[in-house]
Amino acid sequence: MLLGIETAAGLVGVALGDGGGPLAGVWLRGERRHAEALAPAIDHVLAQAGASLADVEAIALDVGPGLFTGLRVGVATAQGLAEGLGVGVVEVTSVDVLAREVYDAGFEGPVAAVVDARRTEVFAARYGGPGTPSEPAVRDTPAALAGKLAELPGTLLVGTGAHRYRTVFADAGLRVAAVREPSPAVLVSIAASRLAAGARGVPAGSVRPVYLRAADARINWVRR
Amino acid sequence: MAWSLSVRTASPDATREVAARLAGVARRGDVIVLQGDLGAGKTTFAQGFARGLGVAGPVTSPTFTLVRQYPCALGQLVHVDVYRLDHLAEVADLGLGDLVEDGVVLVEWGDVARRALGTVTFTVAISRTHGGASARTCEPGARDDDRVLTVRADDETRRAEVAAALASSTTGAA
Repeated sequence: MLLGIETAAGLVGVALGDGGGPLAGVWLRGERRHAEALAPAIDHVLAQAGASLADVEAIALDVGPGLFTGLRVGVATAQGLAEGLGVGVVEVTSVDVLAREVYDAGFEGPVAAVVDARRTEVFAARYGGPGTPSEPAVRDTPAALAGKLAELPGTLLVGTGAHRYRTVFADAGLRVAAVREPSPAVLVSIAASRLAAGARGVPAGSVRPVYLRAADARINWVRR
Repeated sequence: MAWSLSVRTASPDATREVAARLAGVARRGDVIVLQGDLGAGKTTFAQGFARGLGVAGPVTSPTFTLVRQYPCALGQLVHVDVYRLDHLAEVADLGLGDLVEDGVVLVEWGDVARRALGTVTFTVAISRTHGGASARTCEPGARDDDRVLTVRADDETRRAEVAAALASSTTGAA
């Protein structure tokens, strides 16, 4: 079985699935509740599915981009479980989960997955159609992104950033779909199809969140 | 155009009072950088600022915990000290971007980490007027507890609010 952990964009989400698709799941909107809510949610979903941690063969993890507060808890929990259980982690980006949900629902046009990055910025990735990989996600302002997307007629927007700044996007003639947070069930489906296609999870120690923050540099301490 | 406003204080209590008045113009989402050498009074300022936001209970230095959070009138006061950090990535790892929308962020030594902080609303530089290796100036008659607090802000509206809040104690705007 696959255990999916979704904490990148405002949800505490857990789902359990196998090659046949999602089996059980739970989510709650989790502003600052990730640390207290995630582990009990995993216990609950396993119990409802009549499974235990010993049944988990791989962990599907949303690695962002998204909010630090939740990502840190999700990544640390996935690493701990993967290490303890001796299983791999399938890393899936938040934007891939968001786009997949509308493509699974039958949409066939271009999609932009837009995640709220706070402080009037968003993380965004564009998809040409079902099954097409996106360019790597970028950090942008809603207005600048709306300008770029307006050049691609028919683009459908999904994600927390699309919803938060929907008037900005609507003013640019863009449509926003109902999909807001990445779904843990969709996360598990993506990981299951990647494993079925021969992909393998990475070891716990290799898991890296996608932060898309400013470039690192040594702090220039002149007077410490 | 460079804008700054300076206030002199002669005691830690007077520094707290100025800080409390500045807190009166703070808004949810503000990031405030505190600049000044060791012992200049950054944590003293933070205590007054917290009082101005209605924080109950003691405010202590976050040097070793990096971040302390206090419930306050604007949501939460996030009190940060980057003194022990060596890389901007470590500052980014504090996740301040997630927290700032839920309140006000006050960053000690934040001037060295601006690139990781995003838009800074106010900078408050605290300096001594009395001698010592770190003093910028040594004025005749200056005492140990004398400080000059210099506030900088980019936004015109916020500048006006700061000026109004500190009007009775300013020594000059430039």
